[in-house]
Amino acid sequence: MAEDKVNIGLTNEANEVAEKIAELDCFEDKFDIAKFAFAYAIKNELDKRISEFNIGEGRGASWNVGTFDGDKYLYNFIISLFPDIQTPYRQIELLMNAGLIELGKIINESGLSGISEFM
Amino acid sequence: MLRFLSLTVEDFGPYKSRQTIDFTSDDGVTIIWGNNGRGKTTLLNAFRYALFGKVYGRNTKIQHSLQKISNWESFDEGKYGFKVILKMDSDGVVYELTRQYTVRPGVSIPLSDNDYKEDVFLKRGTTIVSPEERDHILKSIMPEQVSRFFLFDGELLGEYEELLNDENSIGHKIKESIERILGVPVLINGFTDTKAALKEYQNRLSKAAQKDQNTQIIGSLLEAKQAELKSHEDDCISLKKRLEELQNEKQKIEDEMKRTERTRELLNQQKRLKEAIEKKEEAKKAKLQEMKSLTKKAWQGMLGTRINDLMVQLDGEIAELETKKTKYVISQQIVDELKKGINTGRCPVCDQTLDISLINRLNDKINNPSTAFGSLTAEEENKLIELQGRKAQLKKLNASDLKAQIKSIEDSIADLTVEISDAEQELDAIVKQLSGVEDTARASSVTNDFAKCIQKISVVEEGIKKEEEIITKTINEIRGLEEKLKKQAGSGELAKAEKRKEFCEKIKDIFEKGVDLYRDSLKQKVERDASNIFVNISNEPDYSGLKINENYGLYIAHKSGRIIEIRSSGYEHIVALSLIGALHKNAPLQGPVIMDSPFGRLDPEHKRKITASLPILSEQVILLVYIDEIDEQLARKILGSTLKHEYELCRISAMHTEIKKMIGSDN
Repeated sequence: MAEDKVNIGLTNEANEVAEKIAELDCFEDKFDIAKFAFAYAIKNELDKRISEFNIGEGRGASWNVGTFDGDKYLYNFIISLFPDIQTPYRQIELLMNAGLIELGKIINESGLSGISEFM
Repeated sequence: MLRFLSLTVEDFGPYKSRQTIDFTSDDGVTIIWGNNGRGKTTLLNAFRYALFGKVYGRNTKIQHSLQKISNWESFDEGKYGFKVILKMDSDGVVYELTRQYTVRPGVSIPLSDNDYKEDVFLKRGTTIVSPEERDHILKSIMPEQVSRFFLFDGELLGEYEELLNDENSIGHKIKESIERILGVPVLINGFTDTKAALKEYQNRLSKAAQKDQNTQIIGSLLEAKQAELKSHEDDCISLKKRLEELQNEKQKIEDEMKRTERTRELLNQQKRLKEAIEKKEEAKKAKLQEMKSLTKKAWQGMLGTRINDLMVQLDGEIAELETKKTKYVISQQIVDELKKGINTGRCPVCDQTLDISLINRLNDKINNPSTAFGSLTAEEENKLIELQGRKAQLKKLNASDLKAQIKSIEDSIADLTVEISDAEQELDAIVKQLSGVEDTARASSVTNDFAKCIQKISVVEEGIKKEEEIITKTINEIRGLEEKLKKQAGSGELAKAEKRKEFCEKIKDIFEKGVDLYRDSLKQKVERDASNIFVNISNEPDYSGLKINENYGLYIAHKSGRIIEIRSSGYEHIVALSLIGALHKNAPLQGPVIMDSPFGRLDPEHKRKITASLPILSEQVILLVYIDEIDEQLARKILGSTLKHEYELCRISAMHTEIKKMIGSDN
């Protein structure tokens, strides 16, 4: 089994989008924004075209997986959805970054007035 | 009777250079027509300035800085200051009053009132009278205290309603002015003087009593009581003076309140808006907090669709494997039944003979897992367990969708943001309006000062009441002692002193009763004359007249005998004009009436009736009206030969008005 990630984080591009979303003051912190972006990616099946996203190195906010997913909810979800995945946290990191990049595109095009439209 | 003959203004307000209005004529009305901003109120102020050296702002009793009265164009041309000359006839003697405001020597460009000096000259015939005589004459022919009945601003006629309010200092001042114009103070002064003389005779009586052995003790007691009385009367006078000062202070505060009404309204609005914004910001903050607690778990609900899709897929796969498993069990049961048949050679269901080859074929089928009736392979068994495990896990992960809740909070936040922004815009507009106001701190403290002043007045009034009670009690004690003395007076010095005192007391009583009788009689006359004027100019046949109260306030009486409690501003105007007309009829002092914009609140019919009644108000009436305030042709027709002159205030520039006599206007 390949070695999974212990820390997961945001790329610069994703981090910038997270900061824009943070300005709405609807989230306690980037931690919640990252999870929201992950859920957005899942909802919109970005996993099926994950290769389209150029996800660089994570230099933005980062978290230890024990803190990020204390109750292992994300872990259990990922292994339920993708039983063959060997590195669930790597997948989670990819998806939350992809989610933020996709949200960034929409925000750039249409602006940002709320988050319910993304739910 | 005082009559104005001419008014000359020089660089006074918009009246650039020297301009004269001629009033010389018999009794009648002069109309000066002028649109807004042309200087009608300034002309009223020119009369006021000439007579009293004062200039009031529009609709207020607040005095203007005099420097601001200089004509701006002349000022820019280096001609500073102004002059007003009022030519008058008082009972056949012609006076020329000149009041000028000129730059002090040594001042090149004046910057404030301090850079000017004022000179006043009064010519009687061709001779300039001394300053003392000048002041005396001016006070006699037109006392400032009664000027409100001669020079008045139509917009301020509403003040007369205050006479119906006992607690109001404006009403108190107007009542004083009314009594002054009606000559009541002459009798009051007589009463005061005889009262002072009586005190002297009372003192002499106590002194005389002390000289006689029989009455020595009463005399001493009387002297002591008289001293006590004097002390309380002095205290009472001081308190009444203090009350008057406070009433004046109250009136100033009331004027200030009126002047700062708009500012206070703006300050209140500003306070209300700030509080509203603060509340909305709090509500928005609470909504954002609610949102933050929802967004902590909202993302889980977003996984729902995928979880449900996956569960459907898993259900399909599980169902397929479970169906296969079920089929195998059923097949196994059939085979078991058939096996029983093999042993007997007959079918247990239809009791037919079984072919052994058929039985062998069936046995092979159910023992082969690749067939439809085969059992699950080990791999399939594991798969089923895995699929069931995943399904159970996903079931646990499924969370509720919070989109609707979050949308609702977002909408609330958006609404609050718009409301805050609107309120902030409104607040900005108020702040801008307030930035032009010089003293907002004063405007906000004025109501507090008013409350303090009212409280002080109440304390002083209470003090006066107590002092008056003590004074009444002491007077009764003095009377008792005087009665005792009277019985023992005999025929010597004491008896003479007693007679002098009694005589003086009777004269004082005559004045005292005279004041009350004169007041009552005046009130009856004022009520009667005001009623007559009112009925003449009122448009309402159901109104029978006016009823006067203690303060000379006038109520409208209905023909049923009931009093009209609430009246319109137009009727307030008519009542005030009726009162002024009645006062002029009953005052010992007769003079011209100059009215600025007197028709503003009236309907055309009332305007017509008041115009017709103008000659009743006074023998000389000068009207300052804007075009269309009354119909020109109609006014000429109604007034007929009583309309003596017409002038028009013509615009040369915004800062320059020319007074032009209207052609053919002289009668």
